[in-house]
Amino acid sequence: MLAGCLLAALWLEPVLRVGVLRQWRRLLLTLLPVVLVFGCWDLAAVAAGHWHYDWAQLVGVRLPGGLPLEELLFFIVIPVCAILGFEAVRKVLGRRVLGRRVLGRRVLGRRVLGWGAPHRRAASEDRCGR
Amino acid sequence: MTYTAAVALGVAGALLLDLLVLRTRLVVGLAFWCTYPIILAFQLAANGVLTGRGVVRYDPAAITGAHLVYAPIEDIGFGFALVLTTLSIWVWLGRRR
Repeated sequence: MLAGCLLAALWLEPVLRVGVLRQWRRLLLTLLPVVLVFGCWDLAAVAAGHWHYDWAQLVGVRLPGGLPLEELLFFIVIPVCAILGFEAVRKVLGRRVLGRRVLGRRVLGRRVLGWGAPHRRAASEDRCGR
Repeated sequence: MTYTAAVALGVAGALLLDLLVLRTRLVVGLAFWCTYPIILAFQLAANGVLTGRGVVRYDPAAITGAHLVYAPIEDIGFGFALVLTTLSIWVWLGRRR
């Protein structure tokens, strides 16, 4: 199933040239805190009895702390898929915006797509307010 | 603490990270909301299989009891927090360079 998720998203890298896997350092730096924080959540949830795993349906490799190997893979695969999807959406949206030139690349690039510096935007909004 | 409470905290934490800590403000932009429904659809499908087959089982006392495609409704919040946190850090790291 995890392999299926990865396959469903990996084609975005070569087809849309999102360049996510090429930025492997940025990807690793993103994954590290996510794996740590959500891995701890998972450990705490198992400890608190919120959920448990049916070991008969898992490959059976236990990580330190008692989590199944699949959980670690899950916290790597899902973020990678999310980032691939997000960059693909940004690319397609950006392309459409540039094609139509509705509000111009600068405005849509910053405001809608979330690129650029937020504080600069806040400053310009202040000026408009006055 | 129940899973429901933990999810509420997790979602609040992710929103805080996006809006105030890293100030990536993805939740007020279009790109995130175009991406999230796609991820949610895949989540419901994959999570539905995992919970439907009983690979992961939940303590009925820790959840509200509302389910969506076999999975407790709380899983939506868990996934949202995971995806928002990931994308927020990713975008923040991209800006720093």
